[in-house]
Amino acid sequence: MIENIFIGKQSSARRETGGTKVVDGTMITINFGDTVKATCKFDYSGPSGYFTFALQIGTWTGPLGPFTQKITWQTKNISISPGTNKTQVITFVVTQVSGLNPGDIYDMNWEIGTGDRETSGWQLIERLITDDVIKIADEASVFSNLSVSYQPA
Amino acid sequence: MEQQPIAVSVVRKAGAGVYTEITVVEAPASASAGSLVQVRVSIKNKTASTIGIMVGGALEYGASPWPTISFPNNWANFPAGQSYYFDGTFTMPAYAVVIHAYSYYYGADSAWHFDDERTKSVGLGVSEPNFSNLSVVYSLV
Repeated sequence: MIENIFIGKQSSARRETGGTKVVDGTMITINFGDTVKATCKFDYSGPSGYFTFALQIGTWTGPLGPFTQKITWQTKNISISPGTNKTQVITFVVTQVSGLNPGDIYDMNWEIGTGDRETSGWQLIERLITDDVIKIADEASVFSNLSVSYQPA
Repeated sequence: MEQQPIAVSVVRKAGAGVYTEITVVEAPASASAGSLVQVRVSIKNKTASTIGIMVGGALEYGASPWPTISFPNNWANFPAGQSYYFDGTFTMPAYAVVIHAYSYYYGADSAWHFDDERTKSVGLGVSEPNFSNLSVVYSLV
């Protein structure tokens, strides 16, 4: 159970041993099917507009990247106006069909921008880098070799 | 700074920097609407004696009367030949502006007299989106 785990403030002082999992931040352990609520807090200045919050899990392959993305969630067209201590809640579901396996540990890369994170139209505005990782629980339920047969009633 | 401005002994018709000269008006080339713009006006005492000098400023962009620039400390007694600067601020409107900076000297008639003027343009900038103080908290639902 995840209970209000603080993921840390924006930092670029991480990943000194790129490619190796060094768990010096918070590890979030989840099971397949879990719905995770992420509460993003931030200050915003500039013109009001519509922005996309994207979370990628994957691996930082070096101290400064690149980031090898495994899966991306995004919430688009969030209306934001200038202000401080603003909050935006985003939920995502971790499913087995995402290509994740029990015991996997991934870095997390939060990005805020405009457009679609998975197209060339993406324009990055801000990135949130932390030392925290997300782990798929070792005991996460896995269904495999699924098949279905049908016969007339 | 002395408590009372020191007067010029002979009040002359001025307007072209007879006793003072605005040497520089410093301001950003552009600013976004709603932002606080910093202005610094440097003035030189052109006379051979200490006189009281005051600064003023207004914004030209179509509004009438012209909005003024706020200078928290707007006067000082300048020694002969010395320069001094005054810092002011204004809130950038949604238009490009022309800053009009004015200098005044304190006359023997106990009045401030306009003496010099200098202008500087500030364009309207487009503000960039900026996120800061980012953090994320997670919980299961």
